Amino acid sequence: MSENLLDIKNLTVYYYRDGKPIKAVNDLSFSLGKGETLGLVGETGAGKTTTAKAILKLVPEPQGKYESGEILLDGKDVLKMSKGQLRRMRGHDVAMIFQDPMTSLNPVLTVGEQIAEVVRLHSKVSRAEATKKAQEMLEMVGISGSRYTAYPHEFSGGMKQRVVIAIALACNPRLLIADEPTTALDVTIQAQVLELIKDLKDKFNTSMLLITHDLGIVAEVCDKVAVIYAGEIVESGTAEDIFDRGTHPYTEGLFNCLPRLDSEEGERLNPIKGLAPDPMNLPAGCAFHPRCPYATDACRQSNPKPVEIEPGHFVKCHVRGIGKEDA
Amino acid sequence: MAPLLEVKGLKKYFKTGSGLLHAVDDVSFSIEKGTTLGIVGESGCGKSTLGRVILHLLEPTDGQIFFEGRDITRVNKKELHELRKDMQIIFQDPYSSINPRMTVKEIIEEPLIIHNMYKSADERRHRVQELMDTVGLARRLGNAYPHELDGGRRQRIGVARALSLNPKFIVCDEPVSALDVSIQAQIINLLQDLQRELGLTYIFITHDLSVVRHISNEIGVMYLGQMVEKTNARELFKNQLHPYTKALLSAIPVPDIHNKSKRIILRGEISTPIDPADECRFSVRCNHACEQCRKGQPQLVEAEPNHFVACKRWQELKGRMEADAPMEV
Amino acid sequence: MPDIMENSAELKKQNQLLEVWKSLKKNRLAVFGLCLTILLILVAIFADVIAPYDPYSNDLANTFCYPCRAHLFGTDNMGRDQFSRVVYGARISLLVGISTSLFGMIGGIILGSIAGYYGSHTETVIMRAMDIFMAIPGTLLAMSIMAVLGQGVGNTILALGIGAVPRFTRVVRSAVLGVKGNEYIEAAQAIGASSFRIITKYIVVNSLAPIIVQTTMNVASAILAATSLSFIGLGVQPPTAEWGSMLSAARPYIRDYGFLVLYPGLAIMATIFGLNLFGDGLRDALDPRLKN
Repeated sequence: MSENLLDIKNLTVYYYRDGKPIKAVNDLSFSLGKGETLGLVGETGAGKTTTAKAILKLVPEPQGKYESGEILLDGKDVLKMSKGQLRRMRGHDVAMIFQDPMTSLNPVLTVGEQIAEVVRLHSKVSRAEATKKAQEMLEMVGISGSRYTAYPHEFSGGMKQRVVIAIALACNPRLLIADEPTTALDVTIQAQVLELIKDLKDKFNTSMLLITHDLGIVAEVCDKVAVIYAGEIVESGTAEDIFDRGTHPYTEGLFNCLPRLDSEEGERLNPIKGLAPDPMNLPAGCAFHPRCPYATDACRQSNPKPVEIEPGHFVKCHVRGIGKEDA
Repeated sequence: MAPLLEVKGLKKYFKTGSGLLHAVDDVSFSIEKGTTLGIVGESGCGKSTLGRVILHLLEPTDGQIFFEGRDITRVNKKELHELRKDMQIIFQDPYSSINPRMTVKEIIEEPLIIHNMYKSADERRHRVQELMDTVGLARRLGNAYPHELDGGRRQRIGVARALSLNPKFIVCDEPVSALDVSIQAQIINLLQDLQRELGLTYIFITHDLSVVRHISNEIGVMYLGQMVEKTNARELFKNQLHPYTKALLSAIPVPDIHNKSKRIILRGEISTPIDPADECRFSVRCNHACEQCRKGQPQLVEAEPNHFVACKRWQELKGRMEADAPMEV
Repeated sequence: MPDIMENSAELKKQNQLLEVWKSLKKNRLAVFGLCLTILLILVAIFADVIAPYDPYSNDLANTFCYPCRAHLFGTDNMGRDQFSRVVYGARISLLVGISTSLFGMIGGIILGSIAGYYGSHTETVIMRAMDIFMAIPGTLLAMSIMAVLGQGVGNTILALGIGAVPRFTRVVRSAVLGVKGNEYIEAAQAIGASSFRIITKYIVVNSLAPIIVQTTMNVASAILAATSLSFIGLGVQPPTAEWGSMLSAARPYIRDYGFLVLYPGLAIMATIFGLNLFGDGLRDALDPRLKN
């Protein structure tokens, strides 16, 4: 397991409202190897963003509480780090790209200053060197270095997201967390930004955790995929495992409800029935059972454990999670 | 048969501090009864403004709108009030498009009250329940407030309200963009079922190309206030004549790891719609732009049967773009 | 589990007032302010039960009596019981404070929502007129109006109410501008709702929070302004038991009988203090932007 950059083991994070727990992340485990890109796929409220924040120990306390589990970054538990260690880790080892480029930049500083600031925070360089590095980073993300002195409001959404990426990569982080990095952008701009992220990732050999609801983006960028539902990973494996041999009923449902580009006229979509569960009131047993067409009594009674159905391909399901040898 | 809705040379300009913003610039199309016209484009292309101008939520600057053969470009207050019964809209954001201080029942009932559709309150309440059944809202939610409901249910409220006056025509302005995929599919199915049962005609505005292909009969692609290509939905995905459409379609991330087609990456970003120059508006980003594209705007012409395109070079490009068209990687 | 969720949605169907109350309850200072305010209201309502003496009956044998068991707050130059007069004064103060604020609120809602909803020239005319009003110091404006209309409780309310309208108009207009940007306004237009309906059922109800806060805060400032007017002899006239006019009447005797100004002064202070604490708390509870 030592070759893994990130190992999340049995992470459980609750938020509390009026003393009652909101079960955002439940006993969640996954790992990410060096240089790999993992797509974390799920719908609104599935716990994607909470997981990302937990890796940086940024879940707002005291409303949010890390109930149990560990997040090992190079073998060190993030949840046990001191404030100083956390500060060094954030931005230097792990950087984050947020969904909304409009609000994640400081409007009163020039974009160059914002990049240089991060550089100076994490490496002992002179002001001039930081400025030079910031200009290099701008060039790297496809913005002319001469725009160092421009303010965020002078940029369009796509350009701002490039700046955010430049800030994130300024210190050569080993792990990049991208939380819906292109959701706020138009398709043609999204294509540009995805292309950029892929190029830079290869260039720096950065590991990436890409959080998204768009399976198309995952197919485009990711080596590995984890599907998250109600704060649990219901299925994980390589991109081939998920896209070609997706096994969990929820994964199946996600693919089925997408309009296909080769569908016939008048074809109907197959939505997953019902709604995502309320994290304050999770159903007993498997959290997906009320929406699952294959649910059995076992599903209503106990929550299944993840089963490795083929090497590296885990499924958390009573019905489908049967190892090859048992089938 | 005459089309249900016809739009001719429609323009909507806004005055801004830095000049005249051409939000919708000389757009023409028609829609047959019972069909869906999809309007696709990126933010700022004027697709939402177009829907609002047709509904008279914004007044057109120039051009004509015909509904059931009748010119409705200029209407007085009374005519507009009547028109509202026939033409409705479903909004994008189910969070901000319903009044948070009204209950579900009140929201759906309101159009019926405004238009005096029923004589007695009992009849009206009956109709509200009927509408809630139609869109799949449990009756017991009638007294709930919108903030207690999820996005999918709120969008169902929006649909019920739009249906309440028995309209013939509905503008769907990105009705599923704010919803999760599993809920999105539910709403799309609902809209299609309603269209079949009630014979509705839709304009379906969206930036999501796979959704628009699924739901539309015809698709119009907009760029900076103009329609650059319009044809049958399936034809558009098979055979794009405009370089922008081509790039747009190639940019959709497809949820299939084996079909990684070559992307056409466009230069730069959408330019400004304020006082645009007299040239092809796409020419600054176009990989095929040449001298003639910068001189005068291209007209939307019927290049192939029922396939309209606004590009001066479509004939030369047809062969060339096919050469560097999607290929297996 | 959709069924469980729907049921819980129904259980949750309690109005937003409860939410506000819950959040207000957490703020101790606000609760203290609310208690003071409620106490004041109770005193005003049950003045005839609480007051041991008639506030207007003179007792010339008992003038300038120091606070004692028979006269808790002492008696004044006419031998009137100060405690009873402070208690009755609460009625006048509350009446003036609340009526003035309601007057200002109604005026502000009408002008502010018209200005905010219609915009352009209508807005310019209304808002510039309000700016002109706001340029005149409040007390000066009230004094001028009182000078024209004459004295008395009714005219005090009118004068202060007119003075409060511009501030309310501003608050309402900015709230309306915020609400107007919401898509549900356009949705209402799309179903053919009239402007009147949109303003009343959509815009005003959704801008109530800042209006309520402004009203609460204004009650305090109106009470203060009313007492000031009485103090300079323009407002409520003696012998009416009113805190300002009591202060004014006690002025010649301050050196020898300090308690004559102490108690009406304390009453004013406690009232303003309570209302402001409550108003602040209410603002925090109603304005979700201040919550984390």
